[in-house]
Formats: sequence, C-alpha cells, structure tokens
Amino acid sequence: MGLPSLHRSPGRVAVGKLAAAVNTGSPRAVCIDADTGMLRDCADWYTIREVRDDGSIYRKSCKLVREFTRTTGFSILWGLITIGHQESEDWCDYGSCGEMTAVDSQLR
Amino acid sequence: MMRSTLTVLAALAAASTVSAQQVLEIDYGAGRVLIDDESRAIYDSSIDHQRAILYLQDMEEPEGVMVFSLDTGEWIRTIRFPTGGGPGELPQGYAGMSAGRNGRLYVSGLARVLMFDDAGQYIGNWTPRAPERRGAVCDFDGEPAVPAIHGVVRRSGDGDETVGPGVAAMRGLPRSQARAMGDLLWSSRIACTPNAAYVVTTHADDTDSLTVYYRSGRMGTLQIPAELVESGRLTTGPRINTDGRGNVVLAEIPDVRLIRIGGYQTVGAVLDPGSGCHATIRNPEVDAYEYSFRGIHADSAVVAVLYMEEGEEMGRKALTFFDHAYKVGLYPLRRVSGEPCPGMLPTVEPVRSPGSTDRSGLKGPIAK
Repeated sequence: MGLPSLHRSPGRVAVGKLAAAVNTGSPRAVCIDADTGMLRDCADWYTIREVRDDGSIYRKSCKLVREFTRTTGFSILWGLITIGHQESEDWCDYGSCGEMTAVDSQLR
Repeated sequence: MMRSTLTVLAALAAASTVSAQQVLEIDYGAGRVLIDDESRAIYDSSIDHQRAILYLQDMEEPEGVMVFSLDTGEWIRTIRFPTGGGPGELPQGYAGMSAGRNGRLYVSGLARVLMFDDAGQYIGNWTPRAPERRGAVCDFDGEPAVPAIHGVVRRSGDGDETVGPGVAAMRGLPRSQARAMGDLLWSSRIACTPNAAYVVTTHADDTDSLTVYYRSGRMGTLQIPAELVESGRLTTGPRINTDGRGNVVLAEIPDVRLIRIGGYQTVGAVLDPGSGCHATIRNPEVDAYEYSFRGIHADSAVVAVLYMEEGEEMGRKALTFFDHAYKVGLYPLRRVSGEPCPGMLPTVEPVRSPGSTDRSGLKGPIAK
C-alpha cells in the first residue's frame, strides 16, 4: 500500500507486534511489544479479546489499514482568520478496531 | 442566538413526540446473496440507490473502490486512486466514500476529496477548509460536504460554503477544548439529504442524537432510538446513511466488547427526520457479530457477512471475528411489532409468527 515509515519521530510510535497487541479488555489499551517492552512500528493486526460468562472467548481481529500522520489542532485559514495551533502525530489505523497513537498509546 | 435555541428546542420537541415505531427483524432465510467469495476482504461500503449500485472497498484493490450491481451482484468496474499528491490521488490513502447524486462518487482521504462521475472517471478534487477527518463525506444538494467546526463545509463552485454556526463558535476556546473539538471531528460521520446534513461526532461513547445542519442555515437535533443507543455503547458505530427516500439510516458496527454489557440485538434504525417516526432493525439473535448491517436498499437490509474462525484457546472455545467481509447479501425485513411509518419501507410485511423469522440461512454461533 506504500505505507510511509513511522520513524520520523523516534520514540513517538508505540504500537506492538501482534502478540502484544492483544487487548485484554479495555477499549483504550497501552500497546507495546510484549517481548522487548520497546515501542515498535504498527503491528500488522490488532485483536480485541473478550471472555463471555460461559468461558468462551470472543475475539475481533482487525488488519492494519495504514499508518498515517494526523494533523491536529486548528491552524486553519478561514477567510482571513487563522485559528489555534497545529501539531502532527503518527497513528496506526485498525479500521473498526480503532486507531492508536504513540503520544498517549491509546486505542480510539 | 435565540433563533438557533428555538430551533433546537423545536427539533427536540418533534423528536420526543415520536408518532409510531416499528421493530423489524432481518430474515436470513430469504433474500439474495450478491457476493460470496472467501478470497475477498471487504471493508467500507456505500450505496447508490438510484442506480442500484454497491461501492465496496476490497483489499483486491486497496487504492480503489470496486463497483457492483445490486441487481445481479456483478462486478461493473474498479475506480482507482493511487496514494500520492497528484490531482487524482490521495496523499495518505483512502479514508471514506459516499455515493452522490447523478451517479457521482466521492472518495475522501484525511483532507482531500476526489470526485468521480457516473462512469467512474475522475472529474476533480476538493480540499475543504475544515479540520482533517477520517473519511466523512456526503453529497449535500449535489456537491460534496464534510463535517466542520459547529457546521458543515460544502463545496461551492471553486470555493467553500459554510452551513451552520461554524467557526465563530470556536473563538476564545482554550487550546484543550479546541483539541477536543478536533478529536470529535476526526472521528465524525455524516450523511446528507438534499436539504440537510446529519452529523454524529461522539459515537465512541453514549451518542443519543445526530446534529442536523439545514441548507437554510437552521440547526437541529435528531434523536437516535433508545434501543440503538443501548446497542451502540462501546461500539464503533453508528454509520450514517440514507435510504434514497429522504430517511436517515443508522447502522451499528459490530464489536465483541459488547459482551461486557450483555450483548445486543438491535443493529440499526431508519428515521424519518420530518416526523421522528422510526423503525429499529435487529438480528434474529443477540451477538451476531459476523452479520454487519450496512444499509437499506429496496426495502431490504444490505448485510456484509464478516469472516469468522472457530478454534480453541486453552481448552476454551474461541471465536475470532475479522473486520472484513467475504459475503454481501440483500435480506428482507419482517415487521415484528409496531406500526409502519408513512412512506417508510412500504413493502415490508409482518412476520408470520412473532419471533420466528427463518434462520436457516445463518451460519456461525447464532445459527446454533
């Protein structure tokens, strides 16, 4: 897909590999590499895991859609008005499983 | 200010006096399968009701949209848009799409919107003066529009037209609130009829209404049916569509995290924005995660069936649902209870005996 590298901002990318990316319940998960504890590039997959009352396990697996840089804030020219500030963050997009950024290591 | 407040109050009053409600169930024992191919990985979708066309984002062409006939299921064409900065390209790739009027298709990246004609030919691009967003776009009276700060930005000739209170509401906001507003817009969703745009922003938690921006400049609120609000907790839905007849269609995106609140059965709703009358749409069983309701066409439910695997984890049964579909079908709706809304889903018939829609077409956990 021609995904861009996420190494533009070292230390800001915090998504683990598949094994580490298994979320054990919270929809806002911290995601680091379970083997090394290091922050890594976007994992290929993200999996949400839930255990039902009867003990059976339900998972939802989402493939990495893309890595991207999101512009945040509001440095938008609106007519003659410039509003707010502008920052950018690197993100991993897991489609309907949500997205992750390194800044707060959260799934949205 | 007073005028907009009164408008909101009027809309709330209209929504709270819902004149009728019907509960519909998807009948998987009937209907018609359009696509059934395990090699497919279908993600996003959009429907052109006028031309009976289904647009699908399939990983066969990650930098494109595949076009299928809703009448026959046949592939018609693939519309391609490479990742890049050229005129017909998206700098950071695909983020969303919407079928438009007269066979148009709008494909959105994070900022830029590409426009294609009814033959799939690229006809131009538009970068609205609005914060980046995750693909939300619609056809608003013949032109593309996207959610913006307290309003909607619509393409108008070579410029932008702001519908709603707009950017003035941002003046003086602290930076933290401005950032929060940006987050809401990032994950916002939108659908449009010729005279109104329907926007949802806070879909990640307890969304109970859509914000409505009318072409006339008025602003209002459209309530989401309570059953769907309950189903919608902790989901990544609802998607917003229309049914091609002026009604708004909401479709929840399945999510296994719902297990924690006891599962869900209501997967969508059709709302008449004028009267507030609505129909809720449910699956025959709770927790039918693999059956992803995508919209309404010709009074039937368009359902994408997600790929699923059954296995074991430490001796326990483990079901893994993937977020891509391999199958798409049109399934009839049956009225389980309530009275039909005038002009909405006119051919839907009552279920033969309540709670007994045919489930023979199902597979997976809900078929057992």
